[in-house]
Amino acid sequence: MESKILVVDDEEIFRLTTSLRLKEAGFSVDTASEGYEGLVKLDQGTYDVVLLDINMPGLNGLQVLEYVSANHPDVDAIVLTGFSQMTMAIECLKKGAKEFIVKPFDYADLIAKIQGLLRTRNSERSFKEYQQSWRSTLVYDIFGSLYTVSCILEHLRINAPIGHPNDTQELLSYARTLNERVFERIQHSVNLPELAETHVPMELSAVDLRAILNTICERFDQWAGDKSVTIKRDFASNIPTVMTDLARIEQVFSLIFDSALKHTTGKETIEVRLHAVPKTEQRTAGVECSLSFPGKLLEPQLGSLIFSPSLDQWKEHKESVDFVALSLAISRRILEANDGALSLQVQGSSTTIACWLPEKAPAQSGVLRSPSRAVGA
Amino acid sequence: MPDKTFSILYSFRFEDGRTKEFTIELDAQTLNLVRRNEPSPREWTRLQYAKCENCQLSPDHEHCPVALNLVEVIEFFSDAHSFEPAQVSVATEERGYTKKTTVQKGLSSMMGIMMPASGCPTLDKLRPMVRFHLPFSSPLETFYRSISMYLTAQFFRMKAEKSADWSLDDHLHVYKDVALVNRGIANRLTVASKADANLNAIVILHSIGDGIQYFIETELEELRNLFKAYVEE
Repeated sequence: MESKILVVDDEEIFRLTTSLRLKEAGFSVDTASEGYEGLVKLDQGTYDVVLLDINMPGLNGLQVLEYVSANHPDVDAIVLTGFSQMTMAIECLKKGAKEFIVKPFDYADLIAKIQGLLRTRNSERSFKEYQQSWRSTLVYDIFGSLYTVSCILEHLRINAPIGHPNDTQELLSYARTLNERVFERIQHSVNLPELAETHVPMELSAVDLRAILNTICERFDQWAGDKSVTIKRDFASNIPTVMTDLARIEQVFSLIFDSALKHTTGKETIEVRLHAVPKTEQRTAGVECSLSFPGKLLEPQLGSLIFSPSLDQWKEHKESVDFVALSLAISRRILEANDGALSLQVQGSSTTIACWLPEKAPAQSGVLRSPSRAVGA
Repeated sequence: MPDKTFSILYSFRFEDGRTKEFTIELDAQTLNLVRRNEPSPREWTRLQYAKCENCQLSPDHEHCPVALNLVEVIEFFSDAHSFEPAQVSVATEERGYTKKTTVQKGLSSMMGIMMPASGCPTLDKLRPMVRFHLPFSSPLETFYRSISMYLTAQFFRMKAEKSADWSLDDHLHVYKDVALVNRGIANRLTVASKADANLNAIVILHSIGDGIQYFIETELEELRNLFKAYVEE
């Protein structure tokens, strides 16, 4: 796609000639004859670069530049100046202009500057996309799988037959330690406020939540048995189908089940409910799965970190974010990407985690969806 | 003193009521600028000061003739802002023009006569346009006049049994050389001028040169219909 340039200058012949030369170089070009017109075009259009004369009637180039920096930070500004305006040009650089060029100039120089800026932008954009993609992979693909591996290792270690060779025990213990080190790395690299902005790759299909939960309950029955914990099921019969990503929703349930199991001890019960929820004023009709168990899951300050983290809160409490908090934050993000929600309620000494999904998701099957805002506890 | 001269009078009336007149006197035969007063050389008019990279003058010349002829104008407009409004009147022997415009446009129009008439070997090629000066000309008018001048020059070359460029290919080379002179003069203005009116006047002239190529390649074709009577004959 052609890069788009806006030329803001009060001299007609200059605008005409610059426009012609830049179009010949392969750019799409718009012009504005004065500062205010330039602002209107910036607000109405999408530009990659703006060429800005400093001295213009009405709004001068510096004033336009301040507006660009505040309202269109993704537009790069090149200031056009004469020698007598070098002090002003330096001022413009301080206020966010990326380059300046002295009139009269060779158009080859101007085009080279523009192409340089565009290359830098493309590199930054590619890097940002790569960073976001990697972050998504780390959080949504690697974390959940590693967590499950950790649980399996623990299960194997606990259930190793008596008289099992010590080296096997040690091997399992060592594997678990390695896993935990990887968890720590992931934990320290995930910024909860940024998590709200990450893209969640999803492939939507019609999912029978009842079948999923039955499978997960059976898996966790074994582990719960290790701790003499009972998983009690209460699944309604009329559960509508939801459109969601099968692997992601399994990941959410696994993380939540494991968090609940970690905080439950012998002879206690985890109650799992699955029921249809009728439409309310706040929500469409949907399906809710809740886990209730005795025990306090999180320290109070971590609750707000999971549901509405500000950067300051994150900076203050990030050292106390543990695996449970991170699991819940990830689960919340996945549900929100599906137009669903996660809630956490503490009543007395009992905790309930609930996942809600809309009965009919708005997107078509197989389409990647963008995230929506949180509906917290 | 030349036998016959003609004058072009530029009058500027500013918003605060001030007025300023510049009488540009030209030799009727050579179109050389006729100076009635002694020149006022400055440091920035010395030939070796910010000399144009394509300067053809010998070192015998102590001062750049273009810069020397512009001293009065440059110094008067040294503090003027380019977009400052002004009513500019131009009186020639044939007619008068008046326009409410900006200082930079009035200056550019005036410099468009003074610079080619100064004796710079590079700018001499634009001198024929001085004879048929059109104040405040639009880009299209300027381009058309420039091409007309060039083709007339080729006609005279043909008459003199020299090679003639009817394709306009070499026309661009003229303006490439002119662009270097414009940059050279602009460089002198760094010390000569405080505000930007003088510099922007040069930029306007520079932009015309830059636009010639694209006018020839794009807009000239749009004038074809006007010449139907010749083309379809």
